[in-house]
Amino acid sequence: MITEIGNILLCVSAALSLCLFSFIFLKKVINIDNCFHFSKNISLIILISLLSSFLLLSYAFLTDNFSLRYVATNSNLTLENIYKFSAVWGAHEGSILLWVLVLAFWCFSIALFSKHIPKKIIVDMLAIMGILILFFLLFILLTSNPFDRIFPIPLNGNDLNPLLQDPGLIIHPPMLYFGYVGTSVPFAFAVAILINENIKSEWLSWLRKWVMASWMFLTIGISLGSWWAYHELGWGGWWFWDPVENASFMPWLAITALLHSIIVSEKRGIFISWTILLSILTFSLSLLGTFLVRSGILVSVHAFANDPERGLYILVFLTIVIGLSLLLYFVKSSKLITYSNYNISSKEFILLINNLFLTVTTFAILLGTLYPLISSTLDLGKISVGAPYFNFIFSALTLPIVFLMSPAIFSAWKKTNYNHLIKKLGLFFMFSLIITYFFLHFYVDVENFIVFLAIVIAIFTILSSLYKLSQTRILSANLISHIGIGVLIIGITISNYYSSQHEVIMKKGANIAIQEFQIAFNDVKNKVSKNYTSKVGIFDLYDNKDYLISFFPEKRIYNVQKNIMTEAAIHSTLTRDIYVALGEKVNDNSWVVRIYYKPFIQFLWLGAILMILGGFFGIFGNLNLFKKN
Amino acid sequence: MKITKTNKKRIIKILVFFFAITSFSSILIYALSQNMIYFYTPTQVYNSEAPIDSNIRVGGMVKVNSVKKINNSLKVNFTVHDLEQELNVTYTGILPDLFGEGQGVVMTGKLISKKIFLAEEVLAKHDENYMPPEVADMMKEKNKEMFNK
Repeated sequence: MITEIGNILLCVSAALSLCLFSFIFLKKVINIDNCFHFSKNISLIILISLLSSFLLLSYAFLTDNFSLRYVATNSNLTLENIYKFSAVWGAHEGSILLWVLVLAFWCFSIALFSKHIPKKIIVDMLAIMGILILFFLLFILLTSNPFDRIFPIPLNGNDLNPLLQDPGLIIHPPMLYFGYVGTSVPFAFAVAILINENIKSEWLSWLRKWVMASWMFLTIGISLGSWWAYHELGWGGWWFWDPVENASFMPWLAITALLHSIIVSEKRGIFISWTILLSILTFSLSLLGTFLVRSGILVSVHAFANDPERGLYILVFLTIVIGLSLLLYFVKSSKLITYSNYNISSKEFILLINNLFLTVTTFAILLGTLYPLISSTLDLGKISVGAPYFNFIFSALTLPIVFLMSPAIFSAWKKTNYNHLIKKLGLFFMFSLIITYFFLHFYVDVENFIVFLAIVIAIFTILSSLYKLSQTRILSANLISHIGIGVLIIGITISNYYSSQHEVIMKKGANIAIQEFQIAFNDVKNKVSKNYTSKVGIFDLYDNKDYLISFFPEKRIYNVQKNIMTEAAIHSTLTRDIYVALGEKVNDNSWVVRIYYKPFIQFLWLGAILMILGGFFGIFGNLNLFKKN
Repeated sequence: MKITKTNKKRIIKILVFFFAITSFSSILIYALSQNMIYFYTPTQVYNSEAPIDSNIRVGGMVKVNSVKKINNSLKVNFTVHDLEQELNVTYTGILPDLFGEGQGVVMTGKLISKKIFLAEEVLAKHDENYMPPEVADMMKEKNKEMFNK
């Protein structure tokens, strides 16, 4: 039954999304108010129908309905209920269903919150969303249907990949998808604008909230992913420049650039053509990301299955979408170009530089990610691009952008008073130099130019944003996010350069010192859980002989797939993490143990939270601390 | 020809633009060329196609019964093969959870000599159905060759 109902729901949604698309033509013959009314209702029905199919699949998972191939390959009787639910999007078929569900969600939201935008534009936007939904539904129905049956019906399932059995991973994919798919809104907007050859600044300020929402979800998704990698992979790392990470990071960079260019377009009426192009490119990068992850051509934790047919389908769609929208852009965009004068000291100019650097960074990461694929396809040799490339590119291109944040905040549109700006910011810069010098000198006691530069720039940004905040007394999106970036950079820099680590063989009862701490290895015990058995290490942490806490890192063996997983144990305070992971057993008395000391790693998560908070204020309006009514 | 003020401005703009583009792209290409790591099979290493003492990647299947741990240290020696040739690998550190004999690995490191590979990083497969694509391709080709013989 589930297979039939599921398939019917998917087919109905596909038919309705085609209807939705047809309004792009029908609006010429039908009254526009009716068009809008129909489109809105159709998008609601699509959302309901896709949500039902999603819930149906969840129901199949929760009731262990192994007659569905997808359930049988990704779930198991012994799997905890919460993971049975998250297994719905744990593999390819379900995650594409989630993709299209999120797309339908954004589609209906456009219809719902569209008061200030002409109905003509909205109907076109919904039509574009409709064709996108249709594509993904066809993709599901033709190549990756989660409702496919399996015969004979297995008694038990194959279990969810143990890597994915982690609380961080329950919400990581949905958040990421909300962000990824959210880029379809500016895309639909861009195409609608190009078709209608008209744009107004109020529309742009409306669009900015959507872009902000997508940016916020993407930030949440990426930081959850990092957080998960740090806790789950057992290597103490949080970012690997893995192609799939890059696939999510490129749209993030592009959408960050978009956020800034929209502001200029909105306030000054320039860069409009660039904003439109950037909207198209951002969505293209999202689709490219989906292609990279789902085609299985990458060496990655995220590449689950290798199916060329699926890859080809997305690749063809990608080419059509990028090709058609760029064609439309080149034909129509000249009608949107406006000119206006601005001085080199103006806010416009700084934001232009910001966009230039962000675009180059995105391109550099794209190059590093795609080059190995191109080289292997053209038989130029199998190569990989090392992390040093990305690290170099990223620090060389990002620090200038962050440095420009402070002048950007204090500068004015058109032309800024130089002397005033330099006097004010010079003072902050001096302060940052002094703070950084003392901080690095006393706290970590190591001299390194890049570290010094990065921390100075971060503190400079934080100080000037805080000052502006105290002046305006408004918790505004940009200030909070910029402070978040500053905090993030401090976290990245300090934790990268001043971590210490030990990989040692420890005997039971032995001690090891790391920084000012001692770690004692007591014992290893066996633990039996519902779907895995594990060895649990017992470690005590001492701070100069004072007992602080005990650690229980685990080595799990999952029953079904016989996979071994490392669960690290971490003790965190604001300024440092101590991270203990069990390696392998050497003999009955000793184990290989991995211990890390990571200073300021918490600043990473703190910075991310601030950025997310900034995004929140950006969507729902800035918070005025001293509201006078 | 007289250079007007607007023309002068335009020329400067174009020059700045070109300067920016060239400097950005040369930095990118330089950084990329410095960090490209090539992949070799054990057979290619045997045929001296791989450079000695520079960063490369090597992949293959871990030979059964070849993993030898050195007592009281994190050092481990093992052999990888591609059905045709073998290569000895030495590595110091913790092996990934999914590392095992008879399974595929991809390693980054340097050749100390034609016979010994010093691995700095060892990547193993991610789940039971998954094999590093390089190794999968390589094994597919080798199997085909063997079959044709």
